[in-house]
Amino acid sequence: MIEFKDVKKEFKTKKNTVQALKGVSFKVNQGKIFGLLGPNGAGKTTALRTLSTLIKPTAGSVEVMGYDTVKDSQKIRQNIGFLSSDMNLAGTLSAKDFLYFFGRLNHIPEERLGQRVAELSKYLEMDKFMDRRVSGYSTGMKQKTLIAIALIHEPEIVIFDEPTNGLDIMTSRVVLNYLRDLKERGKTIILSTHIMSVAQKMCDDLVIINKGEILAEGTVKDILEKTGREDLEDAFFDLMGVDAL
Amino acid sequence: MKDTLIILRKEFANLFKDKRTVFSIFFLPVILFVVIFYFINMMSTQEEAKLDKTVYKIYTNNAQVLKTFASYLQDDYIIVDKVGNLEEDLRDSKIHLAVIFDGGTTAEDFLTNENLKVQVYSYSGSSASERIQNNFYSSIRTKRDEFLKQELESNGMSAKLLEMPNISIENVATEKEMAGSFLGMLLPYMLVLYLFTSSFSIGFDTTAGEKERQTLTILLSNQVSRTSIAWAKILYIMLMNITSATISIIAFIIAFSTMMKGVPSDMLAAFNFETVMVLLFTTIGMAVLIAAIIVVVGIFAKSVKEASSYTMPIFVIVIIFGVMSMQPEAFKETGMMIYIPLINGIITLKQLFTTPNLPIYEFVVSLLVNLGVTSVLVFLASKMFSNEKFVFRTES
Repeated sequence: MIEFKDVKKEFKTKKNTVQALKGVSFKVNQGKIFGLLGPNGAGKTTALRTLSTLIKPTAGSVEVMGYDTVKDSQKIRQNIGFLSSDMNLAGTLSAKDFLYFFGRLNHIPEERLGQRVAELSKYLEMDKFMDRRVSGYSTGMKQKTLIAIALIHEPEIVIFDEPTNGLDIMTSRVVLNYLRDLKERGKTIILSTHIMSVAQKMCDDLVIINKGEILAEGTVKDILEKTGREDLEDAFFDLMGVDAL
Repeated sequence: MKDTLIILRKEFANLFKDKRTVFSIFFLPVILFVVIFYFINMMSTQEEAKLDKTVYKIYTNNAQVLKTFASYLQDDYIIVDKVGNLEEDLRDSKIHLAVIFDGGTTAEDFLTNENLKVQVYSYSGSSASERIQNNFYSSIRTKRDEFLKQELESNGMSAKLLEMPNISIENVATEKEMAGSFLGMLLPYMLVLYLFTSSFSIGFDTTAGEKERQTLTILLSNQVSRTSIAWAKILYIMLMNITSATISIIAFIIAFSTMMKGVPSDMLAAFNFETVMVLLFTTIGMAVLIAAIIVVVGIFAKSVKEASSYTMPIFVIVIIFGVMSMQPEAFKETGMMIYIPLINGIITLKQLFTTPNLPIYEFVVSLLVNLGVTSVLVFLASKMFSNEKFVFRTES
């Protein structure tokens, strides 16, 4: 369904060239929750931005549902819902306004759009702030709204970069339950996180990445077996070459 | 096109929910111009009333001669016969005028002997001194004319000789032409000024501002085409800058013409259907081009601040041409300038109001050039919205 083929990504700065991805290859199967784990600066966001067609690989290619992210970017964007840690909402509009706006951009019929907004609002517990201006939202409210926007058009593939960032424990649970629900409905979910407990509970398959290179991949069980650990966090530190506490 | 309209609608919804911005765009210019011209008018009326009531202090070394020459003076005055330092006393308003009669003892001496001199001192920093100097000079001239009439008549000649030749001056300009001359002087400059300044805040906020606030990525990760985004942003800025400029200019012209003196009263006389059409389409051509420039610069820049600094040189050049258009004889010959984007709009508007015929050639060329350059910029903007180097180019 999704395939990274020897993807390299370089960012040129005035002084030097930074290699964010150094030939990354992996596959994501349909209907699975796929975890992309790594410390800050590992290349997770770059990989997800490449997948969501926002940036182009320097070399290699990414295929999504048989489409190339460079040549068929528009078609891919029709089928993905993307939430990134560097997204924000601002201005005088409310969550409801934004949901209707992105729903219309995704050409959802008005009647269905109304139902969809109501569904998401109920599931993500957004009713209390739906009509308030986003400029007055807390981090959690904004995150819920961004998640709802990414899901408004019921995409086949959901790409969430650190979705529980800034959320309290209750809201995190709501979001993670919703992701499980999406999986039940046959959606493919790509989840980037640095919270190992979340990854261990949620993900069917994992890739652990550091400094633009894949350190390990497979199921949680595969990675635990490979490192001889019982806990994913310990396994992660082992792979990073750092002693766990 | 549908996506462009959806984004456009969202931009307007965002704007109209912000009461402060709505007030500053639609109401503040009207209030500002009415208040400014009301106060200018009020202050000049008060100043005039104050000068009318002033009793002017005039120093002279010959009160008798001064009284004769000041016999036609309408203002009240008193004669001061002693001063300390004449220049300092004028500056300190201890006196308003000093008249020194050099030699001679009677007024007739000064009217008949060319070697005798009347030295008048005033201080231009004081409006009272300026006024009494002008009025005293008029009084002397009237006294001189009266003397000359008597001299002519006593020599058997007609006093009418002083009014020869019998000149009658008539301005053949119609009300429409007078209004056109006034609008031709003001409109191109004001239009380009307001189209630019009203685009800055809104335009950079919706491009570089969105990058800074990290609100652009969410739109770009959706299936909407980059060309639709570019067009939506450009049309939004264009509609706002035209609206804002129109409101500001109408408010200025109404306030200026109703509250200030010496302005043609019927501005509408300069407009007919053809003039309005040329004005409308020339303005749209300029407005859409300015909007496209703002969008391209806004996407390129890392921040609103950087975008403003990049646009400033273009703004200054265009404003210089706007100021040049205020000269009555400017742009009579257009030459190659008609092919320069934006400048050609200023030239077309200048000619629209100051020449008897519609400037059809200038209008068509300026519209085509401005729309052509806009199309190139829209293409460029859509490419930039697809390019990570620009989309993720921020200061953070």
